[in-house]
Amino acid sequence: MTADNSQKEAGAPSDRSLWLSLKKYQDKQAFLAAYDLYFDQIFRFLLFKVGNREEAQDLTSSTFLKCWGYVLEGKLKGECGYHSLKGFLYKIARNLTIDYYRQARPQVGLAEAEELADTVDWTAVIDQRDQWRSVAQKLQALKSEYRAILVLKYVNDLSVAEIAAVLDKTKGNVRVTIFRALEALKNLMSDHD
Amino acid sequence: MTDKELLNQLNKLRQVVPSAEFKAANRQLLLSQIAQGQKVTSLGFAARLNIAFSRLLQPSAVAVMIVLFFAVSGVWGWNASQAAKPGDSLYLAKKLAERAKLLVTMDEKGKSLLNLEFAANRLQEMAALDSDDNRPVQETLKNDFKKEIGQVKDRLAKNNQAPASDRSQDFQSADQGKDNVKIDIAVPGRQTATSTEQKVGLGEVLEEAEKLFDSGAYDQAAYKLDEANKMIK
Repeated sequence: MTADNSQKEAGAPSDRSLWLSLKKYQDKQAFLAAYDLYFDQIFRFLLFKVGNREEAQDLTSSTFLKCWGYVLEGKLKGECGYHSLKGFLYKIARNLTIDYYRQARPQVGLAEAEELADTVDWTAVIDQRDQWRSVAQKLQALKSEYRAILVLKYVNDLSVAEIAAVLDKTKGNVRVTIFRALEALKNLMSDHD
Repeated sequence: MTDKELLNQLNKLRQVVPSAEFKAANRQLLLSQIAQGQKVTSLGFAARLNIAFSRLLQPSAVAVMIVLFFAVSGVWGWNASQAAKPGDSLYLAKKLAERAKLLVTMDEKGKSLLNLEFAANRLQEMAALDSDDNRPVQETLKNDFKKEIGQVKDRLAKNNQAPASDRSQDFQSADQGKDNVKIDIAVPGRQTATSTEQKVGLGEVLEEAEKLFDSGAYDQAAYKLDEANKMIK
């Protein structure tokens, strides 16, 4: 069962309630609940960015540790500008990815750092027995912007508004990018067939 | 491919998840740190080590590591001990392995061949020693060499005695109540004489090997041991 499904279960805390518990009370239990809820999807987002399972796990861990630091400093709103814990975590994860690439290539700018993800061969982490290996391999051929937006939208189930907040884009821009990314992937899959 | 099929394929990527061990270990770590009210922004070395150990201590990983340890150390230890020289820490292991080999060999012929093999080992070790090496090591090797050769000789002597007593029994039983019956006892007698000649020859070869060893002609001694080996086979 994925974290997304578990969130839909009766009794599972909503993102809004978690955000409020952390913002107002620095509630440790709420933070652990957020960990259980979002760890898998943040990991997936990072894995498709860095292409290395161990690095993705470490970056996911750092994302949550950093988030707790912001909670203690009362910077939950100021950092994100969007009242969603999930969006806040994705934002931290994205910034950590940029830092990760800039550590390897300090001379590159912010935009270029994200594009470095295009050079990563992350299909190495895919088990050849997995039935979804075909689509995963095709995703690699997409540029990183398209790949990230498809993973956020169709794998991790983020709304257009959430994606816009995470990627610093307008909602309209996100919709257009999703459409283009899907077309590009469809073309690749047709070539495969 | 339709849009629906494509989205279905993308949805399947939800099966990509971190390892359960990492997730649990990391959660435990996070819990202990936030319980202490600590603000931590990155995993320290100790924490990473802790997570790495928790991965390593999974039962399956432990079992694999144990098997690998014994396999690698066994192979490495065996190879290392075979190359050990007198005075090395692994030399004792080499000698023990030789004794063990001898113990598990049941037939006399196999034991004799092993004795010759071990004698050849002592020969090689003696030849590899520098002239200024200490005398006690040389003495020990010399004694060991003679001991191995001595065991082959003992076995040879026993074999020489056994057929003789067997033969006398054969003659006794052949004589019992069969005075008028002609029995051809010459054939087995001839066969025994031939094998005794071979054994005498083997004894001489071993003697020569010992003498050559004593005189320091290790190459020639090794040749004699090889000759003895062929005779036994």
